[in-house]
Amino acid sequence: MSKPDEPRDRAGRRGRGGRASRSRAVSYGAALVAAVLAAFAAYGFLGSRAATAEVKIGAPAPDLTFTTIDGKVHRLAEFRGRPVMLWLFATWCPSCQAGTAAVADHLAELAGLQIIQLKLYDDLGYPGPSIREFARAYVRPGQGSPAWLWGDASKALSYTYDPKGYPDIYFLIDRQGIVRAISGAPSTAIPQIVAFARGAR
Amino acid sequence: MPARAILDACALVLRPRSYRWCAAVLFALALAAYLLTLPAAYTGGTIGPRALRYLNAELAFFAVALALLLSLTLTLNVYALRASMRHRGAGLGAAAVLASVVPSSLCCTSLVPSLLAALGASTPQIFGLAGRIQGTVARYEALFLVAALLLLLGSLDLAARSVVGSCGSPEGGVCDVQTR
Repeated sequence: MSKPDEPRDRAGRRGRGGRASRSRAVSYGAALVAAVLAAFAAYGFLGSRAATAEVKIGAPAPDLTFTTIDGKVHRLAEFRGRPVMLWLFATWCPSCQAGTAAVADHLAELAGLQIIQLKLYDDLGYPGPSIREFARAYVRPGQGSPAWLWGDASKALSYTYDPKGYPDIYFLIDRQGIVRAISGAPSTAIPQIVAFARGAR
Repeated sequence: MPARAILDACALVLRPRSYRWCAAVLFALALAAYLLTLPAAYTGGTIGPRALRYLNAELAFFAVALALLLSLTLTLNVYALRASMRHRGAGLGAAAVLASVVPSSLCCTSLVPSLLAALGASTPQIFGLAGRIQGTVARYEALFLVAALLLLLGSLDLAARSVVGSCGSPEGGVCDVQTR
């Protein structure tokens, strides 16, 4: 029998009825957490590890390949001797859209910087517009530049530079091919990128 | 009718000046929070004045609507608490707030990839799953915000029914709540 001053549960029941429903809720919650963990284990998450990042600030940028939109294959080492912004992105990503528009608006200030903007391998697993459609949407006519290359990152480049699969990540690489900065969302970091471009001239 | 209960409850609760001030302050705080948070998908999750330049008409509409519903729901719940009524809709309200910040916090930030990496996913697994999650959130951002609006509307309706059910009509309200 419940006591009159005993608090009610969410369904307005007192006593053993209320305690039983709380116990059931805890049990369901625990079962749900266990099911999620079991699913992760079955999918092979537990026990494996994401590849250790091979790209570190102060270390040489790994020399890997990418393909530009005109079909040519390039290696990153070809661009030694000038400062490079290597930008890996996904075409469905809103911060990538905003960042592209921001870079386009500040292109004059970024003179001297080689921008290599590459779509991540398989667009990070979600279908988005093509690179040409993306560039047409966010770079106005006349805003392009020969120093702004567009292309597809190879699987090796994508996995090496972005092992955690961030959809918007860029690397500032100096003339000697040393990584000087790693960050994301260029839309919020234009002053830092401009400072790098000016300092590296 | 849900609209009738909400209107009656608001007419009752917002009659005292103190509750009007309460609603106004909550609206201002909620609006500021939503204006700074909703455009964060365009800044990679960075919340703050920098995100404001990416505020468009659609996001501004959702910010105002969500702030209005949230402030009214909270004010009605404050009224119900002070009148020692059984206040309802808190769960729906919390779910609504969560739904409204999902697009800006999940998409294009490091949250999903870092979580998957922490759970031990390999790079190929992260590349497949993180993109699918974030891409879906990015594509259906408006749906998340509409869902948040509907959840808040439901929460407001529940809170309004509690107030009206306990206090009666706006004209004949008999709740023991201090008014000015």
